[in-house]
Amino acid sequence: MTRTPIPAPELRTAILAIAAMFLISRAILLLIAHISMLQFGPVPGLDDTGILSYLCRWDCQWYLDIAANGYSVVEVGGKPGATTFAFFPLFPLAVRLISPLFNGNYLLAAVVLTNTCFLAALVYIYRYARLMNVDHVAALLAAGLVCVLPQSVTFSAAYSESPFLLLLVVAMFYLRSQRYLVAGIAAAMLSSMRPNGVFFLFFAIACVIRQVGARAFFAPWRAPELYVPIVLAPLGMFAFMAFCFVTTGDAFAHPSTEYYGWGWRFGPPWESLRMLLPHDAAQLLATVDVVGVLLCSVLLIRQGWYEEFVLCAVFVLLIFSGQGVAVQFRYWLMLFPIWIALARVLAPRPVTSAMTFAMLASINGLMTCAWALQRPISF
Amino acid sequence: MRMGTAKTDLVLTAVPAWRRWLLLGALFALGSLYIAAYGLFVLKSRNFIDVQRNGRATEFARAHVTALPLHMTFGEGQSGTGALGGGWYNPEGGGVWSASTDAWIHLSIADGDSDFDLQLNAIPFLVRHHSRIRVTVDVNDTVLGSWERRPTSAGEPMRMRVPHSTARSGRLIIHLHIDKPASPRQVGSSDDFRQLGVFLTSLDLVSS
Repeated sequence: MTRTPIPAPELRTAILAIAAMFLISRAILLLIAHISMLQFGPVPGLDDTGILSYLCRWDCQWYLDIAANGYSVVEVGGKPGATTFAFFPLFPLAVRLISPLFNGNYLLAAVVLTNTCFLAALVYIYRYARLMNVDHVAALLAAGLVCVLPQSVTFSAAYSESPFLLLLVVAMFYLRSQRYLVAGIAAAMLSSMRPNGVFFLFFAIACVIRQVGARAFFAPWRAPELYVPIVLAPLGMFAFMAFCFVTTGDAFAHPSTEYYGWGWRFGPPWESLRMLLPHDAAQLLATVDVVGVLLCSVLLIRQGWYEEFVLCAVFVLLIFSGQGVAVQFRYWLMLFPIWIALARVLAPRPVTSAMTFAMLASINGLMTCAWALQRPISF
Repeated sequence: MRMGTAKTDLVLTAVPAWRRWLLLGALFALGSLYIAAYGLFVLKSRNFIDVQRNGRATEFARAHVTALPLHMTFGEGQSGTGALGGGWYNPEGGGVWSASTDAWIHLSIADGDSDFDLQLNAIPFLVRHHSRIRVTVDVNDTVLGSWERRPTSAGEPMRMRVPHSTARSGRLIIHLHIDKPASPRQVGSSDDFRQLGVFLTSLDLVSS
């Protein structure tokens, strides 16, 4: 596939529009968090010292602890079995590297990093959409959707979500643009950011098969450069496993601590289906969310984006296999091809677009309120 | 042309053959390294949480040498919780659930000169769609028995004779292997997603 460059004025306009969407959405979310705290706060056990601290909830302290002190096998008192090995290293490592620029303020460093990554990810989502022959308006709409999706506050928090999104879209963009080494490096970084990053290789395999055909896929000597992203994709994860092996004697320290500390384990995906039966309002919202995402993923097939569908299907299966359905909101955010496909459908329908945006933004506001107050629904 | 839909999309760069083969060799070497590393990891890795907890339980046992007869209970805050090694969840009111297929208890006893009778009082996790479980117990790597538990025999204790030769040092590492733990969620009895094997309530150890 050859890339048609986006005309410079159009790209400039797009970047300005994306920056505006980014700033407005972040400002509104922070305002909601602030009002929630004024109205219902403070949250017991949380030491909120200002607006920045609203962006540090749930797992944030784990990342900051790794950034400040490195990994430790010590089980945290309140949560037996829980150790820092449950978190992949690239995000805290990056925070540690840039923290001297912020006088050693790890939270500030993390928030600046995640927001920069989120802005860059939005620009790349736009570029990716354009690469897939999506028009300018729909591509901008896709970036806007990602800004208002429920729990998009995690993109601005001290979480690895936004760096992960950036690396995912960069890896996919450069693979589609036939710049295999760049795609491979991004993929390797992706798998050291979060464990599901390694599943990028399914997208890479699907891309190669679609490009050269199933038979030629098994003749890699013809064009070995196509396989660079596939082979590099697990590198980050293996590096982390090697680190775990050397420091703890357990290359699988990540699943070991997740199992004991958080009760997470892999199981057949259908086990999670029962969890979708709504038994309270929060679960009902989660179920509506799951069904909505699954329906939207069908749009990928309709638009002939089979490789993206493969990736999204693998991610969905992974979420279902890993007991994640109950806490799935932020996991769906990563599936940006679905949001591009949805934006493409919405773009010619302004009223439907406005209603969809309003609905998603309302849920997002609710989730941000829950996030600030550290209510379980926002985990 | 739609992107990514035609084989003609593939634009092979005009690189010399030797560079293609070099790249292929490097990719193959990296792929082989993954396989070798994964093999090493699987063979040599030990669950570090289990290793840590076994270490702590060993230290506890060393510091708490007990005399026989011994009755130990495993509920929250009770006498036996320090002896629990890896493979257990947090103790609850009346006992502790095993957390995986393998679980350990560490004891130090004042040396005796006879065999011991060991009794483990444990209730297996059995429900309608998970009605059989097998527990194998070894002490200091000597297998002492294997018990199949069904709903009709769920409450029966596991009794075994520990030969003096096995426990000559006074250190007992009791290892339970549970063949089919299951989560209540998996078998549809509740939303509890923990993998449950047996609920250990107490242990009795007496000289024969």
